Amino acid sequence: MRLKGPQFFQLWVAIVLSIFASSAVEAQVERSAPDGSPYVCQLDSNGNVTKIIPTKKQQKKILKSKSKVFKRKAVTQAKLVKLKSSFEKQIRSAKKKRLSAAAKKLLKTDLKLVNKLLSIWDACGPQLSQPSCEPNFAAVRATLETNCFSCHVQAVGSRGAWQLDEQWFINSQLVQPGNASGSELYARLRGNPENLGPANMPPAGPSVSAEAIHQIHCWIDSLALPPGGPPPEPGPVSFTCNQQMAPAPNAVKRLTTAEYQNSILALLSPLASLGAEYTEVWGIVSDELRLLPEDRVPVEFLEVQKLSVQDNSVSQILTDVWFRVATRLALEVTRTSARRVAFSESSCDPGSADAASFCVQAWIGKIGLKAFRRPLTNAEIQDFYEFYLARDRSVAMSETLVRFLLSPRFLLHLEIEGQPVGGDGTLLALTPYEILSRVTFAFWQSSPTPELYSAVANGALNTETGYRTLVEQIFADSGMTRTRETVRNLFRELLHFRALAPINGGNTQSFAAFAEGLDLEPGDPDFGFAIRDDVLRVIDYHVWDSDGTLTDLLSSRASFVTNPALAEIYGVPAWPGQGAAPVTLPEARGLFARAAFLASGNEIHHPISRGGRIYREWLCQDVPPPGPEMANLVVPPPPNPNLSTRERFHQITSNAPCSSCHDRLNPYGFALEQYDSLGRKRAIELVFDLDGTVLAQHQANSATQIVLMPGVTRAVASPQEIVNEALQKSLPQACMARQAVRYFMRRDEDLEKDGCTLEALRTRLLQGGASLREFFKEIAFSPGFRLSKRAD
Amino acid sequence: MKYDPISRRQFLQGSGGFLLSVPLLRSLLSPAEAAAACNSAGDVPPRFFGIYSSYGNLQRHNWYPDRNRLTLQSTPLRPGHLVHFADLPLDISPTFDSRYNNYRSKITLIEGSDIVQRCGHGRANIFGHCAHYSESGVPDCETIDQLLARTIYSTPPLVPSIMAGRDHSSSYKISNGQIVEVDPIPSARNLFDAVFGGYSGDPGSQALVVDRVKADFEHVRGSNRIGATDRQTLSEIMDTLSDLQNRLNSTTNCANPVERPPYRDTWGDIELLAVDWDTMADIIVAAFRCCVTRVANLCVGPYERPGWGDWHELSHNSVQGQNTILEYFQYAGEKIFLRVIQKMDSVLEGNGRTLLDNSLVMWGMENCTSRYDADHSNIGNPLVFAGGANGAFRTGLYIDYRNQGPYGWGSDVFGNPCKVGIPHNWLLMAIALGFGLTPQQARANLPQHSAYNTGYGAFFPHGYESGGQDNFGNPVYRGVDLYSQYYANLLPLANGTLPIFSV
Repeated sequence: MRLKGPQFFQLWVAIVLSIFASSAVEAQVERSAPDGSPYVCQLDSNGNVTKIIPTKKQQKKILKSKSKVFKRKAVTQAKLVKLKSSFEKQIRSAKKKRLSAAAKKLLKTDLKLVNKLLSIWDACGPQLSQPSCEPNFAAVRATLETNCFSCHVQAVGSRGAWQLDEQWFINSQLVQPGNASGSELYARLRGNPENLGPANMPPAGPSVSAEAIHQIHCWIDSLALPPGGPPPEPGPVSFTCNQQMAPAPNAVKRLTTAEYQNSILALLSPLASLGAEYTEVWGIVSDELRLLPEDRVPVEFLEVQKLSVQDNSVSQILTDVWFRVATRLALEVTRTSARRVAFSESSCDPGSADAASFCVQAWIGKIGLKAFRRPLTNAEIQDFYEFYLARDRSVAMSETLVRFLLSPRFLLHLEIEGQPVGGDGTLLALTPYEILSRVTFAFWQSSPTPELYSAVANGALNTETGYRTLVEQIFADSGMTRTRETVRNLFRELLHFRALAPINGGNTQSFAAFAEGLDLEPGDPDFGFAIRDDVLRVIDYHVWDSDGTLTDLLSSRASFVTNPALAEIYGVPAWPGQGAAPVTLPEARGLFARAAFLASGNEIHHPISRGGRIYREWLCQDVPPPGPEMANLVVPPPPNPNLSTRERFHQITSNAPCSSCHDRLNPYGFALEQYDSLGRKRAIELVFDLDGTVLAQHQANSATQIVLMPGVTRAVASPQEIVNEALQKSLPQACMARQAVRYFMRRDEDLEKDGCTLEALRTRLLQGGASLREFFKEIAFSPGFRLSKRAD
Repeated sequence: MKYDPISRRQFLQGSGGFLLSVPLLRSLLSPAEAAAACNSAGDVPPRFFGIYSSYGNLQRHNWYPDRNRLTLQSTPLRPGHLVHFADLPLDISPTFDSRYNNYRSKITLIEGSDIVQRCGHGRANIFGHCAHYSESGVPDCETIDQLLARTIYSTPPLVPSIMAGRDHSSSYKISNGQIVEVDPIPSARNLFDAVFGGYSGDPGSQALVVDRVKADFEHVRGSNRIGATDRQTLSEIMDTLSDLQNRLNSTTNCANPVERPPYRDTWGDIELLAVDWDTMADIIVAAFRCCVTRVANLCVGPYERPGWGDWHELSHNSVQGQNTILEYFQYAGEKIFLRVIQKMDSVLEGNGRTLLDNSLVMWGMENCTSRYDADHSNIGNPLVFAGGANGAFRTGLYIDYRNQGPYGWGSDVFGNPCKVGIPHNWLLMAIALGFGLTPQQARANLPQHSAYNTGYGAFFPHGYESGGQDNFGNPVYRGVDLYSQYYANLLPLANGTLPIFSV
């Protein structure tokens, strides 16, 4: 049924007038629409539009139309937006649907009317309540301080903490000079009834008054465009190096679990000559070592995980295990004379009842070097000798060893013996022995070898050339096993391998249906191992075996897949095994398109988890965790046959307060939608019921827009495109530099104080720059590496 | 040299006689003497054993008995608040099935003890602490196990309390004026070592070595090249060394009451983990029996095992997931709760009662028995008790504190309808009173924030969230409003014992 003219007009008026009709009438203002047609806007006391009254001329025009748009009793601004989209879509497909010319014309008329109403609405907005428009930044600033600053004084969004000056708002792209309507700040404050688009702000409490919003509109419109048009897009990120600035302080750190274990193992190495006895002793000691608490920096729910090597906490359990390892080791290595002689690397037995003083003191000197990681002073040797003499001979060697193993100089990286550099004495140049320890612990996660101690004793570190030779030696470690493992551990952390859930492997009906066709045994632990192993071998390959760069690694097509199911997922034959060249994948699958990155453990993937790992760990973009008040809201949306995974996650994060971060975070995960939770490439996403029934299928849509940095957005549709775009802006390079400081120096980086170190490292990774192997080596030569700054 | 604890005790007692008047310390008794003193008639102290299951979300019908099977009695808690109770039936509920029939008379199931503050994932919430993963600004307090550990001993033992758990802690203590999480002891082997020593060699001699090590740390700490932050780290290590030294210096009661267990790598192996839980229970029971401690807290699972799927998904996203959750609680019940009460009931003590009778075992979980998906509510978290703390509490009952009167309907913090019970703070206060504390003792360290300074545990400041109305237009609480009608009426009672449950 089509409406007659008068009916249509009445409805039109009813629709428009009904919106906010309950507000008190304050004023009527006559205005012209952008096309020049006159109309009257009726405003309430807050300046909100209550009515739009067409002039008689407009009324006649509308009455002549044959539109079917307004066959409804009420419409919101958001509904008009949807109608517009719908009409545009229908017009586009008119040819395909073979619509008649009349129908097509009617659609166009409808669209025109919708556009008209939208333009009236826009033009009739808050600005009409304040006809005068005097830009006043002081007033704007007061508004923002009152309404926004309580949250944005901290870095709650991707732009960091707000600064209330004009230039900051321009630089941050929150405002576009001269274009209030196109500015995010204005759009968020003005809001819209259904909260479409950017989240309305403020998220809670009373909204900003129309008058204040009008002031902001005026201010933005008054801002002059910089000469030459909009500001150029920001260039690649870099760090500022101030040579005069001391590096950030480093706290005294305890040995990490790995460092402690490796150091204990190194201490026992002299017993290796005893064969089976050594194995027995190591078995007993390692039984105690397994009780060491795991290194992990505790974080609250959903907070960014810190690297485990940054864990510097002490606990009763840790001390108890240190004690038990020390006593057990001491008991075992001193149990027989043969063991004592072997352990002391001597021809005499320092634990015998009649051990000569020179024998005991020589042993104290040797074990002291290994425990303190520097030669003992004469006073220290005397001190320990007296300690030894004060005990029953049957336990003297054992208890002396316990004292060494519980000493702060063994358990901690003290680094307090260097020469002061600069005025206040808090910055120390490390001693050669301290440098040696720093290098071996950084790249081997272990204490120096006797050969390296000897080299230092012979002055190997007295010159820069000597230092360079030492670092080369460290990196040329037999087969580079220790260095490889150290670098592998870094990547394990950056890829969240520890958090990777076990692959269900067909133990639920839904997963079985999802994984159908793959050679996956139920609960197959091999698959979980295989997906990690492939990535670790790829890392080895690019870092150590092919002199690859960061770009090579992040764009890699190499694979060492051995698991048949994984080979099938990657679409390649299995790698033949040790020594063979890697198989080549049909497409680049850097790190973010590998199963180990994509897998969730079940058939449901989690785009936010995927995107978050790229965004935070690989681009070092800060995303604050959800506040405690939001912790209860952080619930993954349940599968819904009507929505794709992407749509489900978008739906729950698209409103304030979530959207302020997720607008930027989610697209990094959405770009990976072409891969399922086993890493298979797909065009269609299936939604399963718990019994394995396919409930629905959706297009896997990975096309999205990422915000690389303020003012830099890119359209991407795959993880590789993210990588390519990010590399152009030097984001992965800068991030890897930051992660390297965190990992190898075991502390948070200070962007200002560590600027020289970070910039030196970043530039090594630029395209055409150094290989990853050289990059890791460069860390040992970075400006802060051989310095120690006291932490107060 | 073989260490002789009795001669050491005698030496210390003898020295004490000369030097100063030292009270007889239980920690200095021989195993037999300690056990005798602990278990003697008239001197059998109650013990507290909290068991906490992370997450949870078991629905009420899987935990509590079917009310249609019960002969319910009712009594007013106060005018307008009617509560029900009944003897526990055979085959109590899907979780407490026929395996529990022999212990039916020693078990109490309590329904409707509402954690009124919005805790969400407030681990340890059933023990009174709510701030973990919860709203900011929650007034914190120590958990009730730590309150008991601080107050029930006339002479503090070496191990005032035990907090065991592989992954999580459900215990918070006061340390330097702050509320801090107690580090959980992650394995049975660690637990044995912490409780019963487990050192090789002569502890007394090793204590002297540790003393020297402390001096080495002191020397480093005094260096002018050590900054304030590092000095703090060194002090923390020295504190742990002191604790270690104290343990070495003491003579452990009931030497080797259980064997030192092997280290078990329980990750990804729930069957082996269950073995470790069982050993932990053995150690805790032995520690109770020997009076090494009177307070223990064990935080367990849930843990995935093949076929169980992801707990988060199960809890939030599927009705069918409830069957798996039930399967877990039946498993955890069998492997932990049932084993604990079996072990404790097999130990006869000096007053003629079993260790279980003389203790209070409390098992609960993190989130409530929601009928709704995506719910982190804590209104009526499922609770079960065993033992009566030497006659302080009634057993053999199902007690439903939810108001069965006409005005009983309220809504939880998410607006879901639920029946209003009692504030959990009241139940915790009743437990504290059952262990001999006064309300003043119990509340001595609680934050003062409300006109209703009653009960034990965390409270929200009043007015945090406004109340709603029930179907009759009466004001009801939305989980958190202390000024709601119900809590305005109930909270004044919460400093006393709890009718029906308390004796």
